[in-house]
Amino acid sequence: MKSIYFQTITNALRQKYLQVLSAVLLLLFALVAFNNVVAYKARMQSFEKAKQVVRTAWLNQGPQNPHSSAHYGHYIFQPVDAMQFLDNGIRPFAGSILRLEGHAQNEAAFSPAQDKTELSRFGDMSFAWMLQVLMPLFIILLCFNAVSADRENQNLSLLSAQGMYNSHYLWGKILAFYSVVLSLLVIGLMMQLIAYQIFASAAGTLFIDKIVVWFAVYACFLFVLTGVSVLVSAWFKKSNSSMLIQLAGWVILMIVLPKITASAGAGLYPIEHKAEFNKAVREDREKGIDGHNPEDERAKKFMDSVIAHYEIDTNKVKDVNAALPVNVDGLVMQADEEYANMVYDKHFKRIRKIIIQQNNISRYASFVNPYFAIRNASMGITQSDFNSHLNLLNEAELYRRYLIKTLNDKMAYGGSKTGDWGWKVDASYWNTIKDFTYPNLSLLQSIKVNVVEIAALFFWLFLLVLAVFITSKKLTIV
Amino acid sequence: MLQTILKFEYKQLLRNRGSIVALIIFCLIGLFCIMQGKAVYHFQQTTIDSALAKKERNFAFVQNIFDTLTYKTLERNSIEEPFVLEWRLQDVVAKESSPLSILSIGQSDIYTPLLSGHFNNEIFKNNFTEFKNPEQLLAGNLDTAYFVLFLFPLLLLALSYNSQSAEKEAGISPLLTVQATSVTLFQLYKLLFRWLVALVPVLLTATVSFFILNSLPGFSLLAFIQWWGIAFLYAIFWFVVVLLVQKFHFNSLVNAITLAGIWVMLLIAIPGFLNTWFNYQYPATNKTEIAEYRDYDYKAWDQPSAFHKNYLFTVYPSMQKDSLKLDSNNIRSFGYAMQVMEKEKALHEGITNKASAQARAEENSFWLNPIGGVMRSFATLSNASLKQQHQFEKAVLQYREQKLAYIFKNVLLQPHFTKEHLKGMPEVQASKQAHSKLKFLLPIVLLTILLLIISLRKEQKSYVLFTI
Repeated sequence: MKSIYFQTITNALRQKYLQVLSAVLLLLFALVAFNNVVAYKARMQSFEKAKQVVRTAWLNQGPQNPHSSAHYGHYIFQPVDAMQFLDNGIRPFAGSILRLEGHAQNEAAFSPAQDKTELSRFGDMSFAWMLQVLMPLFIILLCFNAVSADRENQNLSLLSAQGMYNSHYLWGKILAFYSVVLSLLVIGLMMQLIAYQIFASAAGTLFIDKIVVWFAVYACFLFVLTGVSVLVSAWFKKSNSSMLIQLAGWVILMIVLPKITASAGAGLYPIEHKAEFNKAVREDREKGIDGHNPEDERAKKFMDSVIAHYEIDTNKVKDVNAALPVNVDGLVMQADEEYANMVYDKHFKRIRKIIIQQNNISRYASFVNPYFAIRNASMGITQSDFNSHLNLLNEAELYRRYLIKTLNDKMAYGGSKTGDWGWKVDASYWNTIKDFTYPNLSLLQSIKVNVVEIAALFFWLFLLVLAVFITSKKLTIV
Repeated sequence: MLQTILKFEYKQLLRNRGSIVALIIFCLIGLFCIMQGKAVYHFQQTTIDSALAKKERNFAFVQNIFDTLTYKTLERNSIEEPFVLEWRLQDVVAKESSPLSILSIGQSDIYTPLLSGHFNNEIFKNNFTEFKNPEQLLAGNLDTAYFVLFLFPLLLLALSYNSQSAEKEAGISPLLTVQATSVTLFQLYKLLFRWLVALVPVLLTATVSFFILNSLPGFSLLAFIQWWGIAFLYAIFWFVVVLLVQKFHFNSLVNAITLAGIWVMLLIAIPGFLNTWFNYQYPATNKTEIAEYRDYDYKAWDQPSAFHKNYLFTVYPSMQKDSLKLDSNNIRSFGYAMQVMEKEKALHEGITNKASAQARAEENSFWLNPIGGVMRSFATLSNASLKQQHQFEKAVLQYREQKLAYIFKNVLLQPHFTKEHLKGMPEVQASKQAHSKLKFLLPIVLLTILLLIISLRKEQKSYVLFTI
């Protein structure tokens, strides 16, 4: 196996076209490293600036009615994780800005893709994309004649006559080609990290554990592909056939199938129209209390319960509002918010469940196509997948509820009286409301979310070992 | 001779099960692409139709209020109040969608086809944006444009990579050279046949798409022919590419690698790298403009009445002479609404200018990325380009501005805002700007001609090589 390993590596390194292809690949890695790191730095700076702009605006509202501030609202921007210079995932297509305000729960809007032309659909050339799409093509060109060439030039017969074990031969080939692939992966990753260190290290923090796991899943994916490519070469007698089949497989698995899977997801689990969603929310909200309408039947009942709670005798007291130690408007609005929260939870849960069901198709298809496994796992580790986006939306909604409740409580218990909409808090009050903290999923959480994809990669590894075992038993020498 | 070659190739095709299966699969993919485009188009159309139907209902409701209005009731101020009137109307503007977007979805699954027509409902609110699955958008759509641009060349390459080399490898090329016919012509006809075979799924898709699109409102036969004309031009480009590669007389394997390499370069590597470059040159910034607009809006509302009054009279000096007779609340609201609208327009202009700069830079790069030019032509014909989206947004802003002036002027200057005023509301002026598709196609046309000339110049040499 050792001699096969070294002989294969020596032969591969002698191939002129492979030398050229490797050089091109390394050049692209270098260009992508520079380009993506600089783009990441710009995104990070833009995000930090945006965060600062909205916080400054919030703090400088001056004397203001708390409920006016709830309408003024707050903005949450799509955060940038340092790992995203390796894989930007769904970020270009997810809403980049989320408005938090009283009475309504909004969806993140304005994806970066909205400002781009149709050419953006050709895709970006990130390091992850190169490893997912271009590296498999390189592997095909490297291994398509790994065994078939030996068979065509009778080397296989000679080796067999010398008593070579087929399994040793196949593993020798696989490991030799994998060494070449792994070297390119290591060099490529080093280039990315060096570029990050030089140009963007001040912009964010990279976690070594995430990089190690990210590297490990790619190393596993590329090992599977190298093994499959060598095996296909063993299954076909002619290098031509092996090459064509592998190219066809590449097109189907990397280019066509992802689109078909996405279309199938949308077809099987269609998302309802926004108008239907809004109608359903409106109908449910109408069954609750109206925070802005004192004539509302439920609001009146609520008022009566507050009067009863504070034991105000409406027959004796001239001005009930003045007699109450609280501003009932604040309490009613909070009751309205809490009811609305239940309504929004119910309806948004439905929409998000549909999206998760759509995405589950590609998740489980990882057992058919390893490309899905690596794409999803890579996005998960770099926090650029739908789950990370959802995590941001959930955290932002929790913050919105804290923000609006704080403002309503201030309105209710801050010293104003019912109906006094002109009442204002002083300018220093805004500083007492804590700022939004952007969530960061730990590596373990990311792995948990992508457990199906990681299991699929192990499944492919197992399948490869099994296939090598079977092929070594049935390998035709001539 | 042509007939003999075509007959021979036809028989060979029928004998080759792999090719037949590939053709059937490609035909099915072509049909799937149309269905996919149709699903996206219908989803959008349903959204638009339901929004417009709701708009009509609201208009009828408001009209009904005016029908029963006596102008003596206490509520008449709330009915004639501009903000209340607009809130009741719930106006919405829909972008004119082209049936051709079934063929090239482009960015029409991302751009919003509906915008609020309410004069005070800013464009940044984006209330009508549908829920999207970002993972699905990342994967992209398998539409007819994708089928033509990406999959047709693959089928052609798979069918024709060995159209010349196979004979040499089988040892029958000397037999051909002793025939009385030109070897070059013989090879050309062979390639032509295979090219026509590869076109079968495309032609089938074109035919089916005609029957589907023909029945849709807004269908233009000319635009349809233009769309498929561009697709045909693109198919010719790939014919010339294969022809040129064959003139180098590589063996079948090298032919396959070379053609696959060209496919990857033209459709994956160059566009992908250019996209990355443009994203670096024109980074998508966080829309702090939206927060800026909110601040401006709130601060403008808090300005004293005199400030708004002065602003209004600067824009409409003629109103100043009647200022004492005019309702002061409406003067304040008019001045405020106009300022906010101005700010909104300026911020929107800033955002669109950034995006347009990238679109222009992309157009200059079509000399490096000719397939990008074909894609832009498809998107333009389907009314799904960024430029057309910006024009729609600008038309909506203009409409809202006209409506703002119309409603406020009538409320301020007329004794009452009446049913007749409601009927005479301004309408959206759709952009009539023509969009040239030809300039995007110039690089691919010139490249095709250049490759053809190189192929013809190599012809003489190839004749000698072929016989060896």
